[in-house]
Amino acid sequence: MADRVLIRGLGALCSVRPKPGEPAAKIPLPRGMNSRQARRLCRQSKLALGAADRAWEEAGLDGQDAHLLLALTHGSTSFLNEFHDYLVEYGPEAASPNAFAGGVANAPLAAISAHLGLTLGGATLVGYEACGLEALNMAARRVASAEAPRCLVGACEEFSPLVQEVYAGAGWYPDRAPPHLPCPRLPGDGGPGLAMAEGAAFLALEPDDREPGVRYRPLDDPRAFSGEVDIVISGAGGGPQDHHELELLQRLLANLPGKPALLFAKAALGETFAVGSLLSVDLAVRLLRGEDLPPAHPLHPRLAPLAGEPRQPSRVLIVAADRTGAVQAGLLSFDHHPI
Amino acid sequence: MKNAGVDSAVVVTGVGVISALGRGYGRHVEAVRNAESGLVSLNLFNGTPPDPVLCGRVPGDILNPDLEATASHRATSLLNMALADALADAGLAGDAAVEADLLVGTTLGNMHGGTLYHRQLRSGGEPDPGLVRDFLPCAPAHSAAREAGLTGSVRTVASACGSASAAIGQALRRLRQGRAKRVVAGGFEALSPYCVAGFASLKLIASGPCRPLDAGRDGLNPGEAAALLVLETEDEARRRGARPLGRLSGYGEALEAYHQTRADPDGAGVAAALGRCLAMADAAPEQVSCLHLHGTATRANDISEHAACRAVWGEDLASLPVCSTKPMTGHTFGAAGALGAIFSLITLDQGVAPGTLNLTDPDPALAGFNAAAGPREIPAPEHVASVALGFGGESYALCLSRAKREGGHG
Repeated sequence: MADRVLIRGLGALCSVRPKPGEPAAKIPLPRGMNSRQARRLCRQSKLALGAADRAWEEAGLDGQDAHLLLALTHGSTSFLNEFHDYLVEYGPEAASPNAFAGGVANAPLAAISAHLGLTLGGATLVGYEACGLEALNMAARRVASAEAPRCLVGACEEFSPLVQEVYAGAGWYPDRAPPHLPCPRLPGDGGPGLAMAEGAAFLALEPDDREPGVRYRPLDDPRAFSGEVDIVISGAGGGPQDHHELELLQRLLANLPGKPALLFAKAALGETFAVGSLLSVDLAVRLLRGEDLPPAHPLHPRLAPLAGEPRQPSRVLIVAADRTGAVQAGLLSFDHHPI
Repeated sequence: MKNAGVDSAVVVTGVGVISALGRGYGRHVEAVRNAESGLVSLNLFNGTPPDPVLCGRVPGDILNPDLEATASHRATSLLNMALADALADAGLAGDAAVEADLLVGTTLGNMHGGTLYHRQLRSGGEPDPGLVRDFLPCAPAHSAAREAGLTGSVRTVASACGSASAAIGQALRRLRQGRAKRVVAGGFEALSPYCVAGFASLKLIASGPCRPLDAGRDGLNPGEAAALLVLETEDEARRRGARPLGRLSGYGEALEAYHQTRADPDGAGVAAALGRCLAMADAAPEQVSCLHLHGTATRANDISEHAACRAVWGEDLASLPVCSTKPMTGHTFGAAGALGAIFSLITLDQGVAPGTLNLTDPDPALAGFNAAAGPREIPAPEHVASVALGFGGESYALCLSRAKREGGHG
């Protein structure tokens, strides 16, 4: 079917923001990289590399070449801060070349390309909350149209207290659940709430070759979609995109036959901007495969009942709107179920 | 709605360009013929090194020259102006809503606004959060699209100095696949102390006017610009009676997987990008009439491009006129690829290749490059290619080809 691709491998790293005084979660190093090599990289690049390498390893594609697409929103805020620390306090002669070169938007893509030896081409998209899914849809179309033999696509975001403070001033991510979101208590936390978080998620895509596995198809116009789905995963997250997201969901749910389960992944995963929709894709793939979610996955205690439902989900719809009203969507299915 | 038109030919129907040379396609044609440079000496750090820095700043009669006063919106302003000019040039101005996507590249957006925020934060004052929200590289494109009444999708690409080329390439894909009938594509970049300090920290700022391909070259001059092409399918252009300025016939991209910042001295990425570009354009290397190099005048960049061109053209390289326009405009980073495409259009349209200014002592290590300090006539150009390279080995090539039309662009 046009635009449908096989998800050969995936890798995801996510963590809700560290509490004050708590160290940031350690990011697993990619294969073949030691900590000395990794120290040059900003946190965002480390997250991206860690997730990309996992996806590549799972796909069994070492030695193969691929097109590379990466999405992000705020970029390397840590290196940006470091560069400004020196620039503002001590002047340009103290500016850090590593913070500059390692902090540019395409640094994560360059790091992945160099580490995995990918040379077919690539680009970094900078966008808002739906940007990750936009990159996935672009990648899927390139593979499905045979423009690229395979594609490694993903997104990354590092947590920034500065950005959180800016958004808090605008009333976004207030650490209180807005009325339209079911927001369970986070483990170990004092109370319910939404948080900005960080993470990375990558998928290795190949042409649909009828092998058993999960398939992905981008949707041109999610508002007009009316196919059968078991689960809809929404990108609503307590932020400025929610108005557009809920409008989309209202229209979708009116069109969809049956009563699909509705999941708000960000209620537990937090808001990771460009990464959010791809973390939802990661979650969907694991549900479709019937996998147990790893214990470290923030959703683990909450989704176990869903994964144990008598009816194994076979189709999951991912939707994401951003703060400008742009929407992206895609459909996942397992094995040979046609979509 | 998906439009019909798989593999449609794509033409350029409008241009909007603002750089250190001034505003408008005609201004840039004039600058090419007169071998002008728009570089000016600026003190960006209160006179401390690397000041003074030769920069390609947009003239003060077009945009307030004060970087501090325009910090929060300089990039957005440049993009807004170029977009208005491009739409007007394409005969699309005056419509309340314009059916077009906007696909642009940039590296730093309104970065100086971000620097102001950090200064405010460190001075103990109350920093303006709007500076952080507006400095995201994707913010100017959304703002500009709203301002211009564009109804299509908006996308920002940040592939370092190849950003604009990548954006144009993605636009070409969308149009050829029938996913859009019109895309305004290109790039924009505003001067910022952050950017200049960054390149200075890498020892890549030239001590004077940059000298691409010259034995005495020692780095780049930072610049700012906004450069946009209105791209449409040939059918759509014909339907509304638009005059094509040229055909966007080819695009190629590659990654070098070599180093975080330095180009591969063997030029493997650029060679691959050029090969893919010319294959798409269905143009053999010997059919290329002129090549616009990335030509930043850093030691490594020019060596890498030379190696790539030798790989693609072999001994025929000496017959191919090449040029770099960085001494005219400065290196405009996120806009560079689109500026290169517009200079390629000028070559195609006017039959003149820009001079590589300040080239007085060609580097023997770059033997075979057919470059000249002054502008040269290019008789009956059919295909003109341009190259852009970014940090991390991102390599891009574009090919513009003659469109079937009469007369030139005013």
